[in-house]
Amino acid sequence: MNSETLLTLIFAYLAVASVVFAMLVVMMRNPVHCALALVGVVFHLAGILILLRAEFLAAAHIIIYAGAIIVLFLFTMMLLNVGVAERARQFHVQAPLAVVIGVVLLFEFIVLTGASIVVGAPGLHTPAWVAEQGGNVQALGQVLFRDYLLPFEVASVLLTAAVVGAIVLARQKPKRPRSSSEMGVSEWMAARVEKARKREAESAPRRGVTRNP
Amino acid sequence: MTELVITILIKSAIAFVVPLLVVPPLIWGERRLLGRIQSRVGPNRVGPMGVLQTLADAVKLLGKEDIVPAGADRSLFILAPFLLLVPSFMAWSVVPIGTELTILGRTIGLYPTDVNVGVLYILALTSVAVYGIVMAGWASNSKYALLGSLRSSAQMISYEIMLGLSLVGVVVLAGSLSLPEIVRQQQVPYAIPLFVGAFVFVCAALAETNRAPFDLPEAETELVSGYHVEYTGWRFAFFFLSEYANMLLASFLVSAVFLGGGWPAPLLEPMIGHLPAMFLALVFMVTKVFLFLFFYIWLRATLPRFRYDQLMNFCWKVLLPLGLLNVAIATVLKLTIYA
Repeated sequence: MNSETLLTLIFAYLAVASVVFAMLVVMMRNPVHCALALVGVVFHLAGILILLRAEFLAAAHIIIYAGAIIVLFLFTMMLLNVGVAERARQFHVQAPLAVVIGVVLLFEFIVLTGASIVVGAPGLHTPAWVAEQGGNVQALGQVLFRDYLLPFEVASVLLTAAVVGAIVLARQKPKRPRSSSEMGVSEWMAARVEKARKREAESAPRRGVTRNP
Repeated sequence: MTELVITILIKSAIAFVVPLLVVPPLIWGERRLLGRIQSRVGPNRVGPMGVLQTLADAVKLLGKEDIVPAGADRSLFILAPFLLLVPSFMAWSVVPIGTELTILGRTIGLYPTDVNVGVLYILALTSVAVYGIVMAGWASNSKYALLGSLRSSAQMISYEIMLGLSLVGVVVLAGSLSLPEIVRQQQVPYAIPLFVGAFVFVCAALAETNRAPFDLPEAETELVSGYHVEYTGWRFAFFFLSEYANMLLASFLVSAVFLGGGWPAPLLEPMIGHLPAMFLALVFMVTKVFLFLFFYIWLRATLPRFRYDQLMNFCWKVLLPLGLLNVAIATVLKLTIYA
Protein backbone atom coordinates (compact mmCIF):
# COMPACT_ATOMS: atom_id res chain seq x y z
CA MET A 1 0.00 0.00 0.00
CA ASN A 2 1.50 3.34 -0.96
CA SER A 3 1.07 6.48 1.05
CA GLU A 4 -1.48 7.92 -1.39
CA THR A 5 -4.03 5.15 -0.77
CA LEU A 6 -3.29 5.28 2.93
CA LEU A 7 -4.11 8.98 2.99
CA THR A 8 -7.29 8.36 1.02
CA LEU A 9 -8.32 5.67 3.51
CA ILE A 10 -7.65 7.99 6.44
CA PHE A 11 -9.62 10.74 4.75
CA ALA A 12 -12.50 8.36 4.07
CA TYR A 13 -12.60 7.35 7.73
CA LEU A 14 -12.46 10.97 8.94
CA ALA A 15 -15.12 12.13 6.51
CA VAL A 16 -17.54 9.29 7.27
CA ALA A 17 -16.96 9.54 11.00
CA SER A 18 -17.51 13.30 11.09
CA VAL A 19 -20.79 12.93 9.20
CA VAL A 20 -21.88 10.12 11.53
CA PHE A 21 -21.04 12.18 14.61
CA ALA A 22 -22.83 15.19 13.13
CA MET A 23 -25.93 13.06 12.69
CA LEU A 24 -25.62 11.82 16.25
CA VAL A 25 -25.56 15.45 17.42
CA VAL A 26 -29.08 16.00 16.10
CA MET A 27 -30.46 12.52 16.66
CA MET A 28 -29.46 11.55 20.19
CA ARG A 29 -31.94 12.29 22.91
CA ASN A 30 -29.70 13.27 25.78
CA PRO A 31 -28.30 16.79 25.21
CA VAL A 32 -25.06 15.93 27.04
CA HIS A 33 -24.49 13.01 24.67
CA CYS A 34 -25.21 15.37 21.77
CA ALA A 35 -22.55 17.79 23.00
CA LEU A 36 -20.03 14.95 23.24
CA ALA A 37 -20.89 13.89 19.70
CA LEU A 38 -20.17 17.48 18.67
CA VAL A 39 -16.73 17.08 20.24
CA GLY A 40 -16.33 14.01 18.02
CA VAL A 41 -17.20 16.12 14.96
CA VAL A 42 -14.65 18.75 15.96
CA PHE A 43 -11.91 16.16 16.38
CA HIS A 44 -12.53 14.47 13.05
CA LEU A 45 -12.64 17.82 11.28
CA ALA A 46 -9.31 18.67 12.91
CA GLY A 47 -8.01 15.39 11.48
CA ILE A 48 -9.10 16.48 7.98
CA LEU A 49 -7.35 19.82 8.52
CA ILE A 50 -4.15 17.95 9.41
CA LEU A 51 -4.48 15.93 6.20
CA LEU A 52 -4.69 19.27 4.38
CA ARG A 53 -1.40 20.22 6.12
CA ALA A 54 -3.09 22.99 8.10
CA GLU A 55 -1.72 21.94 11.51
CA PHE A 56 -2.12 25.36 13.07
CA LEU A 57 -5.75 25.53 12.07
CA ALA A 58 -6.33 22.00 13.40
CA ALA A 59 -4.85 22.84 16.82
CA ALA A 60 -6.69 26.17 17.00
CA HIS A 61 -9.90 24.39 15.98
CA ILE A 62 -9.60 21.95 18.89
CA ILE A 63 -8.56 24.61 21.42
CA ILE A 64 -11.40 26.96 20.52
CA TYR A 65 -14.28 24.62 19.73
CA ALA A 66 -13.60 21.55 21.86
CA GLY A 67 -11.69 23.38 24.59
CA ALA A 68 -13.87 26.42 25.05
CA ILE A 69 -17.20 26.55 23.26
CA ILE A 70 -18.53 23.02 23.77
CA VAL A 71 -17.31 23.02 27.38
CA LEU A 72 -19.53 26.06 27.90
CA PHE A 73 -22.45 24.19 26.28
CA LEU A 74 -21.86 21.34 28.69
CA PHE A 75 -21.61 23.70 31.63
CA THR A 76 -25.03 25.12 30.85
CA MET A 77 -26.58 21.74 30.21
CA MET A 78 -25.25 20.18 33.38
CA LEU A 79 -27.14 22.76 35.38
CA LEU A 80 -30.38 22.30 33.45
CA ASN A 81 -32.82 19.50 33.92
CA VAL A 82 -31.76 17.16 31.16
CA GLY A 83 -34.59 14.71 31.82
CA VAL A 84 -37.18 17.13 30.44
CA ALA A 85 -35.35 17.47 27.14
CA GLU A 86 -35.07 13.72 26.92
CA ARG A 87 -38.82 13.20 27.19
CA ALA A 88 -39.72 15.99 24.77
CA ARG A 89 -40.91 14.88 21.33
CA GLN A 90 -38.12 14.82 18.82
CA PHE A 91 -39.92 15.39 15.52
CA HIS A 92 -42.07 18.30 14.58
CA VAL A 93 -45.33 17.77 12.64
CA GLN A 94 -43.65 19.36 9.66
CA ALA A 95 -41.04 16.60 9.52
CA PRO A 96 -42.37 14.92 6.29
CA LEU A 97 -42.39 18.26 4.49
CA ALA A 98 -38.85 18.94 5.72
CA VAL A 99 -37.68 15.61 4.27
CA VAL A 100 -39.12 16.47 0.82
CA ILE A 101 -37.61 19.96 0.77
CA GLY A 102 -34.31 18.64 2.07
CA VAL A 103 -34.05 16.07 -0.73
CA VAL A 104 -34.89 18.69 -3.36
CA LEU A 105 -32.30 21.11 -1.96
CA LEU A 106 -29.66 18.37 -1.79
CA PHE A 107 -30.33 17.52 -5.42
CA GLU A 108 -30.02 21.18 -6.42
CA PHE A 109 -26.82 21.48 -4.41
CA ILE A 110 -25.25 18.49 -6.12
CA VAL A 111 -26.25 19.70 -9.59
CA LEU A 112 -25.05 23.25 -8.97
CA THR A 113 -21.71 22.35 -7.40
CA GLY A 114 -21.16 19.72 -10.10
CA ALA A 115 -21.67 22.37 -12.74
CA SER A 116 -19.63 25.13 -11.16
CA ILE A 117 -16.67 23.38 -9.60
CA VAL A 118 -13.27 24.06 -11.17
CA VAL A 119 -10.72 21.33 -10.57
CA GLY A 120 -6.99 21.90 -10.62
CA ALA A 121 -6.91 25.70 -10.56
CA PRO A 122 -4.27 26.70 -7.97
CA GLY A 123 -5.23 29.34 -5.42
CA LEU A 124 -3.23 32.32 -4.30
CA HIS A 125 -1.33 30.45 -1.58
CA THR A 126 0.15 27.38 -3.20
CA PRO A 127 2.20 24.75 -1.33
CA ALA A 128 5.31 26.25 -2.95
CA TRP A 129 4.47 29.68 -1.55
CA VAL A 130 3.86 28.16 1.91
CA ALA A 131 7.20 26.35 1.80
CA GLU A 132 8.87 29.61 0.79
CA GLN A 133 7.53 31.28 3.94
CA GLY A 134 9.17 28.55 6.03
CA GLY A 135 6.10 26.54 6.96
CA ASN A 136 2.42 26.68 7.63
CA VAL A 137 2.48 28.73 10.80
CA GLN A 138 4.80 31.32 9.28
CA ALA A 139 2.67 31.53 6.13
CA LEU A 140 -0.49 32.03 8.20
CA GLY A 141 1.28 34.72 10.23
CA GLN A 142 2.35 36.51 7.06
CA VAL A 143 -1.17 36.49 5.68
CA LEU A 144 -2.86 37.46 8.94
CA PHE A 145 -0.47 40.13 10.16
CA ARG A 146 0.66 41.64 6.86
CA ASP A 147 -2.00 41.22 4.19
CA TYR A 148 -5.03 41.29 6.46
CA LEU A 149 -3.71 43.29 9.38
CA LEU A 150 -6.55 45.81 9.53
CA PRO A 151 -9.45 43.30 9.45
CA PHE A 152 -7.60 41.24 12.05
CA GLU A 153 -7.20 44.21 14.38
CA VAL A 154 -10.81 45.29 13.87
CA ALA A 155 -12.00 41.78 14.73
CA SER A 156 -9.84 41.70 17.87
CA VAL A 157 -11.16 45.10 19.02
CA LEU A 158 -14.72 43.87 18.48
CA LEU A 159 -14.05 40.72 20.49
CA THR A 160 -12.47 42.74 23.31
CA ALA A 161 -15.52 45.00 23.34
CA ALA A 162 -17.75 41.92 23.60
CA VAL A 163 -15.73 40.58 26.54
CA VAL A 164 -15.85 43.92 28.34
CA GLY A 165 -19.57 44.13 27.68
CA ALA A 166 -20.15 40.66 29.11
CA ILE A 167 -18.24 41.57 32.26
CA VAL A 168 -20.23 44.80 32.68
CA LEU A 169 -23.49 42.89 32.29
CA ALA A 170 -22.43 40.14 34.69
CA ARG A 171 -21.23 42.53 37.38
CA GLN A 172 -23.80 42.77 40.14
CA LYS A 173 -24.62 45.99 41.85
CA PRO A 174 -24.16 45.62 45.61
CA LYS A 175 -27.61 44.60 46.87
CA ARG A 176 -27.07 45.17 50.55
CA PRO A 177 -26.36 48.73 51.68
CA ARG A 178 -23.14 49.01 53.61
CA SER A 179 -23.48 47.90 57.20
CA SER A 180 -23.43 50.51 59.96
CA SER A 181 -19.94 49.45 61.12
CA GLU A 182 -18.52 50.43 57.75
CA MET A 183 -20.01 53.95 57.79
CA GLY A 184 -18.83 57.15 59.39
CA VAL A 185 -21.06 58.75 62.04
CA SER A 186 -22.54 61.51 59.88
CA GLU A 187 -23.20 59.07 57.05
CA TRP A 188 -24.92 56.73 59.49
CA MET A 189 -27.13 59.56 60.79
CA ALA A 190 -28.02 60.58 57.24
CA ALA A 191 -28.91 56.98 56.40
CA ARG A 192 -31.16 56.75 59.49
CA VAL A 193 -32.98 59.97 58.59
CA GLU A 194 -33.40 58.82 55.00
CA LYS A 195 -34.80 55.47 56.15
CA ALA A 196 -37.27 57.08 58.52
CA ARG A 197 -38.44 59.48 55.84
CA LYS A 198 -38.95 56.64 53.39
CA ARG A 199 -40.96 54.64 55.90
CA GLU A 200 -43.13 57.67 56.56
CA ALA A 201 -43.74 58.25 52.88
CA GLU A 202 -44.60 54.60 52.27
CA SER A 203 -46.86 54.09 55.23
CA ALA A 204 -48.90 57.25 54.88
CA PRO A 205 -50.91 56.62 51.70
CA ARG A 206 -51.39 52.91 52.38
CA ARG A 207 -53.33 53.45 55.53
CA GLY A 208 -55.47 56.09 53.93
CA VAL A 209 -55.22 58.41 56.92
CA THR A 210 -52.75 61.17 57.52
CA ARG A 211 -50.93 61.35 60.78
CA ASN A 212 -50.12 64.80 62.23
CA PRO A 213 -52.40 66.75 59.96
CA MET B 1 11.04 3.33 5.35
CA THR B 2 11.40 0.30 7.61
CA GLU B 3 14.04 2.15 9.63
CA LEU B 4 11.67 5.09 10.03
CA VAL B 5 8.86 2.82 11.20
CA ILE B 6 11.15 1.10 13.70
CA THR B 7 12.39 4.44 15.07
CA ILE B 8 8.82 5.68 15.44
CA LEU B 9 7.76 2.46 17.18
CA ILE B 10 10.65 2.61 19.64
CA LYS B 11 10.07 6.28 20.39
CA SER B 12 6.33 5.76 20.89
CA ALA B 13 7.00 2.85 23.21
CA ILE B 14 9.40 4.97 25.26
CA ALA B 15 6.97 7.91 25.37
CA PHE B 16 4.24 5.57 26.57
CA VAL B 17 6.23 3.51 29.04
CA VAL B 18 8.26 6.27 30.72
CA PRO B 19 5.28 7.91 32.47
CA LEU B 20 3.97 4.49 33.52
CA LEU B 21 7.35 3.49 34.94
CA VAL B 22 8.12 6.78 36.67
CA VAL B 23 4.73 7.34 38.29
CA PRO B 24 4.81 4.55 40.95
CA PRO B 25 8.25 5.53 42.36
CA LEU B 26 7.12 9.15 42.13
CA ILE B 27 4.11 8.48 44.36
CA TRP B 28 6.31 6.59 46.80
CA GLY B 29 8.87 9.42 46.76
CA GLU B 30 6.17 11.97 47.36
CA ARG B 31 4.82 10.12 50.38
CA ARG B 32 8.30 9.62 51.83
CA LEU B 33 9.20 13.26 51.30
CA LEU B 34 5.91 14.49 52.75
CA GLY B 35 6.62 12.28 55.73
CA ARG B 36 10.10 13.73 56.21
CA ILE B 37 8.88 17.34 55.87
CA GLN B 38 6.06 16.74 58.36
CA SER B 39 8.35 14.90 60.82
CA ARG B 40 6.80 11.51 60.16
CA VAL B 41 8.29 8.35 58.72
CA GLY B 42 6.09 7.73 55.72
CA PRO B 43 5.49 4.31 54.14
CA ASN B 44 8.43 2.03 55.05
CA ARG B 45 6.97 -1.47 55.41
CA VAL B 46 6.49 -2.92 51.92
CA GLY B 47 9.88 -3.68 50.39
CA PRO B 48 13.13 -1.91 51.22
CA MET B 49 12.27 1.57 52.56
CA GLY B 50 8.69 1.01 51.39
CA VAL B 51 9.51 1.22 47.66
CA LEU B 52 6.87 -1.36 46.82
CA GLN B 53 4.13 0.50 48.68
CA THR B 54 2.66 1.97 45.46
CA LEU B 55 2.65 -1.46 43.85
CA ALA B 56 0.76 -2.86 46.83
CA ASP B 57 -1.71 0.04 46.64
CA ALA B 58 -2.19 -0.55 42.92
CA VAL B 59 -2.90 -4.23 43.51
CA LYS B 60 -5.35 -3.26 46.23
CA LEU B 61 -7.15 -0.81 43.92
CA LEU B 62 -7.31 -3.37 41.12
CA GLY B 63 -8.83 -5.92 43.48
CA LYS B 64 -11.56 -3.62 44.74
CA GLU B 65 -15.16 -3.85 43.70
CA ASP B 66 -15.95 -1.92 40.54
CA ILE B 67 -19.10 0.06 41.29
CA VAL B 68 -21.18 1.97 38.79
CA PRO B 69 -23.70 3.92 40.87
CA ALA B 70 -27.40 3.33 40.30
CA GLY B 71 -28.84 6.12 38.19
CA ALA B 72 -25.47 6.96 36.72
CA ASP B 73 -25.13 7.51 32.99
CA ARG B 74 -23.36 4.20 32.52
CA SER B 75 -21.55 4.73 29.24
CA LEU B 76 -20.26 8.20 30.13
CA PHE B 77 -19.32 7.06 33.62
CA ILE B 78 -17.12 4.39 32.10
CA LEU B 79 -15.75 6.71 29.42
CA ALA B 80 -14.80 9.60 31.72
CA PRO B 81 -11.52 8.23 33.21
CA PHE B 82 -10.29 7.48 29.68
CA LEU B 83 -11.16 10.99 28.52
CA LEU B 84 -8.79 12.24 31.21
CA LEU B 85 -6.03 9.67 30.82
CA VAL B 86 -5.75 9.50 27.02
CA PRO B 87 -4.97 13.21 26.43
CA SER B 88 -2.37 13.18 29.18
CA PHE B 89 -0.59 10.29 27.45
CA MET B 90 -1.08 11.75 23.96
CA ALA B 91 0.74 14.91 25.04
CA TRP B 92 3.93 12.87 25.53
CA SER B 93 4.27 12.44 21.79
CA VAL B 94 5.81 15.91 21.42
CA VAL B 95 7.77 16.25 24.66
CA PRO B 96 11.51 16.58 23.97
CA ILE B 97 14.11 15.16 26.34
CA GLY B 98 16.88 16.72 24.29
CA THR B 99 17.73 17.90 20.80
CA GLU B 100 19.57 15.78 18.22
CA LEU B 101 21.96 12.95 18.89
CA THR B 102 24.38 11.89 16.14
CA ILE B 103 25.57 8.36 16.71
CA LEU B 104 27.15 5.90 14.24
CA GLY B 105 26.52 8.33 11.41
CA ARG B 106 22.84 8.67 12.14
CA THR B 107 21.00 11.63 13.59
CA ILE B 108 18.29 10.72 16.04
CA GLY B 109 15.95 13.35 17.47
CA LEU B 110 15.54 12.87 21.22
CA TYR B 111 11.83 13.53 20.96
CA PRO B 112 8.98 11.32 19.73
CA THR B 113 7.96 13.76 16.98
CA ASP B 114 8.82 17.32 16.03
CA VAL B 115 5.44 18.88 15.26
CA ASN B 116 5.61 22.43 13.98
CA VAL B 117 2.71 23.36 16.27
CA GLY B 118 3.94 21.41 19.34
CA VAL B 119 3.06 24.10 21.87
CA LEU B 120 -0.47 24.40 20.50
CA TYR B 121 -0.81 20.62 20.45
CA ILE B 122 -0.08 20.46 24.18
CA LEU B 123 -2.48 23.32 24.89
CA ALA B 124 -5.18 21.61 22.82
CA LEU B 125 -4.77 18.40 24.79
CA THR B 126 -4.90 20.15 28.16
CA SER B 127 -8.08 21.88 27.06
CA VAL B 128 -9.60 18.55 26.07
CA ALA B 129 -8.80 16.96 29.44
CA VAL B 130 -11.58 19.07 30.97
CA TYR B 131 -14.13 16.72 29.39
CA GLY B 132 -12.99 13.87 31.60
CA ILE B 133 -13.66 15.95 34.69
CA VAL B 134 -16.98 17.35 33.49
CA MET B 135 -18.23 13.93 32.41
CA ALA B 136 -17.06 12.15 35.57
CA GLY B 137 -18.98 14.62 37.71
CA TRP B 138 -22.10 14.70 35.61
CA ALA B 139 -22.37 11.00 34.84
CA SER B 140 -22.05 10.00 38.51
CA ASN B 141 -25.56 11.30 39.18
CA SER B 142 -24.43 12.69 42.51
CA LYS B 143 -24.75 16.27 43.68
CA TYR B 144 -21.33 16.19 45.35
CA ALA B 145 -19.63 14.93 42.22
CA LEU B 146 -21.48 17.45 40.04
CA LEU B 147 -20.52 20.40 42.23
CA GLY B 148 -16.98 19.08 42.44
CA SER B 149 -16.73 18.82 38.68
CA LEU B 150 -18.08 22.35 38.21
CA ARG B 151 -15.46 23.58 40.67
CA SER B 152 -12.61 21.74 38.94
CA SER B 153 -13.60 22.50 35.39
CA ALA B 154 -13.96 26.22 36.14
CA GLN B 155 -10.48 26.07 37.64
CA MET B 156 -9.01 24.21 34.69
CA ILE B 157 -10.61 26.42 32.05
CA SER B 158 -9.40 29.58 33.80
CA TYR B 159 -5.84 28.43 34.35
CA GLU B 160 -5.55 26.99 30.85
CA ILE B 161 -5.66 30.55 29.52
CA MET B 162 -2.78 31.55 31.77
CA LEU B 163 -0.82 28.51 30.61
CA GLY B 164 -1.21 29.67 27.02
CA LEU B 165 -0.43 33.28 27.87
CA SER B 166 2.80 32.36 29.63
CA LEU B 167 3.91 30.31 26.62
CA VAL B 168 3.26 33.19 24.20
CA GLY B 169 6.39 34.92 25.51
CA VAL B 170 8.52 31.84 24.85
CA VAL B 171 7.06 31.41 21.37
CA VAL B 172 7.78 35.06 20.56
CA LEU B 173 11.42 34.77 21.64
CA ALA B 174 12.06 31.40 19.99
CA GLY B 175 10.14 32.33 16.87
CA SER B 176 8.76 28.81 16.66
CA LEU B 177 5.93 26.67 18.01
CA SER B 178 7.99 23.48 17.87
CA LEU B 179 9.26 22.27 21.23
CA PRO B 180 12.69 20.93 20.07
CA GLU B 181 13.28 24.22 18.26
CA ILE B 182 12.46 26.13 21.46
CA VAL B 183 15.00 24.00 23.33
CA ARG B 184 17.60 24.59 20.60
CA GLN B 185 17.06 28.35 20.66
CA GLN B 186 17.90 28.75 24.34
CA GLN B 187 21.43 30.06 24.70
CA VAL B 188 20.23 31.25 28.09
CA PRO B 189 17.24 29.50 29.69
CA TYR B 190 14.10 31.51 29.09
CA ALA B 191 13.36 31.48 32.81
CA ILE B 192 15.93 34.29 33.17
CA PRO B 193 14.65 36.89 30.67
CA LEU B 194 11.05 35.70 31.07
CA PHE B 195 10.94 35.12 34.82
CA VAL B 196 7.44 36.63 34.95
CA GLY B 197 6.26 34.14 32.35
CA ALA B 198 7.98 31.29 34.15
CA PHE B 199 6.16 32.24 37.38
CA VAL B 200 2.80 32.35 35.58
CA PHE B 201 3.54 29.02 33.88
CA VAL B 202 4.45 27.29 37.14
CA CYS B 203 1.31 28.56 38.89
CA ALA B 204 -0.90 27.59 35.95
CA ALA B 205 0.75 24.18 35.71
CA LEU B 206 0.13 23.58 39.42
CA ALA B 207 -3.53 24.46 38.97
CA GLU B 208 -3.91 22.47 35.74
CA THR B 209 -2.55 19.34 37.37
CA ASN B 210 -4.77 19.89 40.43
CA ARG B 211 -1.85 20.01 42.83
CA ALA B 212 -1.40 21.87 46.09
CA PRO B 213 -1.92 24.74 46.78
CA PHE B 214 -4.59 24.58 44.06
CA ASP B 215 -5.82 21.05 44.79
CA LEU B 216 -9.43 22.06 45.26
CA PRO B 217 -10.70 19.22 43.09
CA GLU B 218 -9.45 16.85 45.75
CA ALA B 219 -9.36 18.98 48.92
CA GLU B 220 -9.12 15.86 51.05
CA THR B 221 -9.05 17.68 54.37
CA GLU B 222 -12.29 19.62 54.08
CA LEU B 223 -14.28 18.06 51.24
CA VAL B 224 -14.58 14.40 50.33
CA SER B 225 -12.78 14.97 47.01
CA GLY B 226 -14.68 16.22 43.99
CA TYR B 227 -15.61 14.91 40.57
CA HIS B 228 -14.27 11.39 41.23
CA VAL B 229 -16.07 10.81 44.52
CA GLU B 230 -18.23 7.98 43.10
CA TYR B 231 -15.36 6.11 41.45
CA THR B 232 -13.87 2.96 42.89
CA GLY B 233 -11.15 0.45 42.13
CA TRP B 234 -9.17 0.70 38.92
CA ARG B 235 -11.34 3.52 37.56
CA PHE B 236 -10.25 5.66 40.49
CA ALA B 237 -6.67 4.50 39.88
CA PHE B 238 -6.98 5.95 36.37
CA PHE B 239 -7.74 9.40 37.76
CA PHE B 240 -4.83 9.04 40.12
CA LEU B 241 -2.49 7.90 37.36
CA SER B 242 -3.48 10.75 35.05
CA GLU B 243 -2.84 13.29 37.80
CA TYR B 244 0.71 12.03 38.28
CA ALA B 245 1.33 11.64 34.55
CA ASN B 246 0.27 15.27 34.13
CA MET B 247 2.55 16.32 36.94
CA LEU B 248 5.46 14.59 35.22
CA LEU B 249 4.49 16.16 31.92
CA ALA B 250 4.43 19.63 33.48
CA SER B 251 7.91 19.00 34.92
CA PHE B 252 9.26 17.97 31.53
CA LEU B 253 7.66 20.97 29.88
CA VAL B 254 8.99 23.47 32.39
CA SER B 255 12.48 21.97 32.06
CA ALA B 256 12.39 22.05 28.27
CA VAL B 257 10.66 25.35 27.71
CA PHE B 258 11.86 27.53 30.56
CA LEU B 259 14.99 25.85 31.93
CA GLY B 260 16.64 25.21 28.58
CA GLY B 261 16.44 21.38 28.48
CA GLY B 262 20.02 20.12 28.61
CA TRP B 263 21.46 23.61 29.06
CA PRO B 264 24.39 24.32 29.51
CA ALA B 265 25.68 21.06 28.01
CA PRO B 266 25.29 22.11 24.31
CA LEU B 267 27.57 25.10 25.02
CA LEU B 268 30.28 22.68 26.18
CA GLU B 269 30.10 20.63 22.99
CA PRO B 270 33.11 22.29 21.23
CA MET B 271 35.23 21.47 24.28
CA ILE B 272 34.23 17.92 25.22
CA GLY B 273 32.84 16.51 21.99
CA HIS B 274 29.38 15.52 20.82
CA LEU B 275 28.60 12.30 22.68
CA PRO B 276 29.73 13.38 26.16
CA ALA B 277 27.90 16.69 25.69
CA MET B 278 24.68 14.90 24.72
CA PHE B 279 25.05 12.57 27.67
CA LEU B 280 25.55 15.55 29.98
CA ALA B 281 22.52 17.26 28.42
CA LEU B 282 20.40 14.23 29.21
CA VAL B 283 21.67 14.20 32.79
CA PHE B 284 20.94 17.91 33.19
CA MET B 285 17.46 17.54 31.73
CA VAL B 286 16.54 14.65 34.03
CA THR B 287 18.01 16.51 37.02
CA LYS B 288 15.88 19.55 36.22
CA VAL B 289 12.78 17.39 35.92
CA PHE B 290 13.41 15.79 39.28
CA LEU B 291 14.20 19.13 40.93
CA PHE B 292 10.89 20.45 39.66
CA LEU B 293 9.07 17.35 40.91
CA PHE B 294 10.71 17.91 44.29
CA PHE B 295 9.49 21.53 44.15
CA TYR B 296 5.94 20.26 43.49
CA ILE B 297 6.02 18.00 46.53
CA TRP B 298 7.71 20.63 48.68
CA LEU B 299 4.91 23.09 47.86
CA ARG B 300 2.30 20.49 48.77
CA ALA B 301 3.90 19.92 52.13
CA THR B 302 4.30 23.59 53.04
CA LEU B 303 1.53 25.70 51.51
CA PRO B 304 -2.08 25.77 52.73
CA ARG B 305 -4.84 25.32 50.17
CA PHE B 306 -6.37 28.34 48.43
CA ARG B 307 -10.03 29.10 49.06
CA TYR B 308 -12.16 28.94 45.91
CA ASP B 309 -12.67 32.71 45.55
CA GLN B 310 -8.97 33.28 46.24
CA LEU B 311 -8.17 30.78 43.51
CA MET B 312 -10.26 32.63 40.94
CA ASN B 313 -9.10 36.07 42.08
CA PHE B 314 -5.49 34.94 41.88
CA CYS B 315 -6.04 33.68 38.36
CA TRP B 316 -7.86 36.65 36.89
CA LYS B 317 -6.48 39.54 38.92
CA VAL B 318 -2.86 38.49 39.43
CA LEU B 319 -1.87 35.96 36.77
CA LEU B 320 -3.72 37.55 33.86
CA PRO B 321 -2.01 40.97 34.22
CA LEU B 322 1.32 39.21 34.81
CA GLY B 323 0.78 37.09 31.72
CA LEU B 324 0.12 40.20 29.63
CA LEU B 325 3.21 41.83 31.15
CA ASN B 326 5.13 38.70 30.11
CA VAL B 327 4.00 39.14 26.51
CA ALA B 328 5.09 42.79 26.63
CA ILE B 329 8.51 41.88 28.06
CA ALA B 330 8.99 39.21 25.41
CA THR B 331 8.13 41.60 22.59
CA VAL B 332 10.53 44.26 23.89
CA LEU B 333 13.30 41.64 24.27
CA LYS B 334 12.62 40.30 20.79
CA LEU B 335 13.04 43.78 19.34
CA THR B 336 16.20 44.60 21.32
CA ILE B 337 18.43 41.83 22.69
CA TYR B 338 17.04 38.89 20.72
CA ALA B 339 16.72 40.84 17.47
